Amino acid sequence: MPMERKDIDLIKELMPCVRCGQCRSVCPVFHAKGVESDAPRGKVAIVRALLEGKLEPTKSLIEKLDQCLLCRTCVQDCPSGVRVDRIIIAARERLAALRGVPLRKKVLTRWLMPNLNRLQPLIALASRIQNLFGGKVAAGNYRRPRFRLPLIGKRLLPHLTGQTLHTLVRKNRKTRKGTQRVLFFSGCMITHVNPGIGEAVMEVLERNGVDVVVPREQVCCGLPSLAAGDRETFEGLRQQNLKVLRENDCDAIITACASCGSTLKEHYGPELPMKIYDFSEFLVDQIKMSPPLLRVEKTVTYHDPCHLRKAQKIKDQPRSLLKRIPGLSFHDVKDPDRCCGFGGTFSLNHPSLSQQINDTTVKQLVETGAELVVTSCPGCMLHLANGLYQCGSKAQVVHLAELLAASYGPMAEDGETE
Amino acid sequence: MTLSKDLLSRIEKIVGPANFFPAETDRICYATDSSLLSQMNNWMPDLVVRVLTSEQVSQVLALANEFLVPVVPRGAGTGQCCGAVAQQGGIMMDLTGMNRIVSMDLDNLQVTVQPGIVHAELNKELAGHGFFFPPDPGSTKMCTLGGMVSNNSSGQRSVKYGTTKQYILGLEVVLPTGEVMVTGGVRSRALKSVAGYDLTSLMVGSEGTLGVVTRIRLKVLPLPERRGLVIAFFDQLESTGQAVVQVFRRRLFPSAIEIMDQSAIVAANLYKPELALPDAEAMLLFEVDGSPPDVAYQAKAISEVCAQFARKVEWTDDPERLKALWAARGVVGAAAGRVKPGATRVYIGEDICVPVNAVAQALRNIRAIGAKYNVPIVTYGHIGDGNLHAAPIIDPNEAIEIEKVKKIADEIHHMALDLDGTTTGEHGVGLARAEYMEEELGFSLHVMRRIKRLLDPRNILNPGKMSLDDGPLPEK
Repeated sequence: MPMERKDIDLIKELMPCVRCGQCRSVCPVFHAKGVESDAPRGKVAIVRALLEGKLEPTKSLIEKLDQCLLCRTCVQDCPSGVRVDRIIIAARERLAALRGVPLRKKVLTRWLMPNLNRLQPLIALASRIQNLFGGKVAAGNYRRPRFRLPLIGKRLLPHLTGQTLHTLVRKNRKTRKGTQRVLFFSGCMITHVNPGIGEAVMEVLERNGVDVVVPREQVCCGLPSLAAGDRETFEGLRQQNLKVLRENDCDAIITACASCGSTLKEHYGPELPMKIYDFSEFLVDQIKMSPPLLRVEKTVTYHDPCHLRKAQKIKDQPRSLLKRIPGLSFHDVKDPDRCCGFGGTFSLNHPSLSQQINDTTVKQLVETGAELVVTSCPGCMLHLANGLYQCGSKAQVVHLAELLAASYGPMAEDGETE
Repeated sequence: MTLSKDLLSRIEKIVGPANFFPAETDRICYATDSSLLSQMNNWMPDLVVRVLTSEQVSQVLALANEFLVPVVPRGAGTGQCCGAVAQQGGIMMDLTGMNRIVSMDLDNLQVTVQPGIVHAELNKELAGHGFFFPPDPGSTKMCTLGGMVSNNSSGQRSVKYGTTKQYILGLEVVLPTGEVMVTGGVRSRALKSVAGYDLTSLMVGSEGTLGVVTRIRLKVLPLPERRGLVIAFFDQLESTGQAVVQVFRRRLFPSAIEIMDQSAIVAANLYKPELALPDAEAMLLFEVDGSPPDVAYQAKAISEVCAQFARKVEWTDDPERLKALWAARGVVGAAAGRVKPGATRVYIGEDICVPVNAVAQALRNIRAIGAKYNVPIVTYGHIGDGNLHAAPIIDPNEAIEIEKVKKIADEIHHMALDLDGTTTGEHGVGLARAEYMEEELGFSLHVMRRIKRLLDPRNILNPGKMSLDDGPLPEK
């Protein structure tokens, strides 16, 4: 494979790796599979050999480089500071340039995800016929397929309400006059699949005197395209979102999806027109919060999304918020660094591996004895809910914003707690 | 080397298709360990197999003998001496799948494990029962017990607890011919034995040249109730050596005494900024362990001794701070590259061991060698037993830097021998230090070669390593 300028940059990323192997001790894919080529150190060796022309881009090589969750557990632990995630993304881009983006990924990341706003009528239609495909489980938030579905198999699907966050906002929101105004970058999952989380985010923010704007024109953050090596699609989405962000004059951008948050923070660069915060980060670090008062008599644990804990270095703020909810009994997991195994399209492309990784994480969550598993990423939520359901656990998965909103209680028309 | 179809299909039958890796994508991942030498050469094996039983090991070795194909046993591949790489091609035997604790006999202070178990995993399990396996390499989170036995590894606590060999009660070893041998008594659960030649000790540190270790009977010790750490910062390198000598003279016996020079302190701060270590010429870490009053007494006494020589002394028994400091010390080697952006740490000349009272001189010499070649060298190590790790920081894509660092390593190795030390304290010989063995070992190297030829007559097991293949046998 001939070297290009980009390859030389990539080699510079590879260089700090001293092959110490510390990544073997933390990589969830390596733990599940157990062969050196599954470890980050092995993948780095494969990328290096590919660039040096010692390996050809064979099917097995592409498969190996595809089997990375981009969870960054190895990056967090790497003494030499090797950015394995960047290396894998760059290598996938190089392979996509040589061999094209695989059709299955293209359908999702180039055609489906970027066009969800336009496809909304289809999602609404799907919500009306979803009962044909799956019955409700797990407190009605999820559905279990009645038969094996393509890519999904028999894993839980989210229950579709037929609403998007935008329609809910249009119906329910009134103009308020807060001390700050923020833009909520809600992301695909919250906008189209779990709008209830978005409502909860808005409610909590408004309860704290923060007005929220949710632009309808926002699109997918682009992480699925980026992870697939499809830089072109990612760049298109990035530009569209930047345009939307520039058009809205706000004090800050808020995200409640760990993956969206990390993508905007890291890949949108200095062109971002305002500061961006995760929901929990904003509440704890940026404003003086009024305390939630309603008691929530539940035992809870918290699952750290990788893109929050490892990418955004946010781990204390969600726990701090949980501890402010009266009545809550909090039990932390033994190993909070564990990835849930979702990895976006990873869970579709490598379902059994994804499930295997999930099993270990879910086991630890169950061991806490929690009735509620709280997290900050709708992707993790879906995968954890499935894992808990499959292992027979009765624990429910909720977003941190939903739990906080419950403790603030319903809001009266005049903005006071009822 | 091309392996015949017949051999390949017979090996696949032995290990099963799930553990048989002929593809280049897999093989390239086994071409290196941490050593610069392996990075420069990328010796790819012709086949990788994962073995799960000693029977499989035996069958593969018997076949390799029949077909005259080299076999290289390998654990996690965290070595730094180019020992577990297939310089002559052949079969790479990955033993990390054999990672079970076979039995725990804690009443008799021993456990039996398979070779692929990771050191930290073993100690985590033992800690749950109040015991530990004392040797503690910096690579604890990833290195395997098999690798530790094969390299006679040690680490920070060797000053009090010694090296791996002191804890190996017996081994199951598959010889290069495929025969299986149990050392230390076939049924023994005794904690000591002088029955027969000490073949256990022969195997420990033999770097996979005499046999493949498939089972390890280990001695374990009760876990100390408490640990404490004294940290002292010095303005003079010589003062560090004086402090260590005085601590021993005061009849204090720390479990570890570590040194980090100025650049290693910088590297640790870059890796874990929350440590906030102050700038100093060198820093010593004294770990003490025992009952809580004993730890407090020792820590206080060591602090008093150090105060005579050091600019600043502090001590802690806070488990979180202890964990963070040891974590930073443990990986300072791999983190060393952070001191020079755009460069990386290379493993060459990294494991000399000198008499304790020559450590300060050795540190000065290393600095002078670095200055001579204008290459930054981060140095740290186990001052308690004189084992120093020098980490040159270079751009390995520059040929001139590679040439320089080879000369640096050569000078460091000769310097260690001149100070009556050794070229390797705990990492092993492999290929990286083979050229110094004649000078360092003298006639005993020739005896080693005789042993190698006796046990591995067709020279199929990890050939080319430790200078065992080179040179004629001396005449009578």
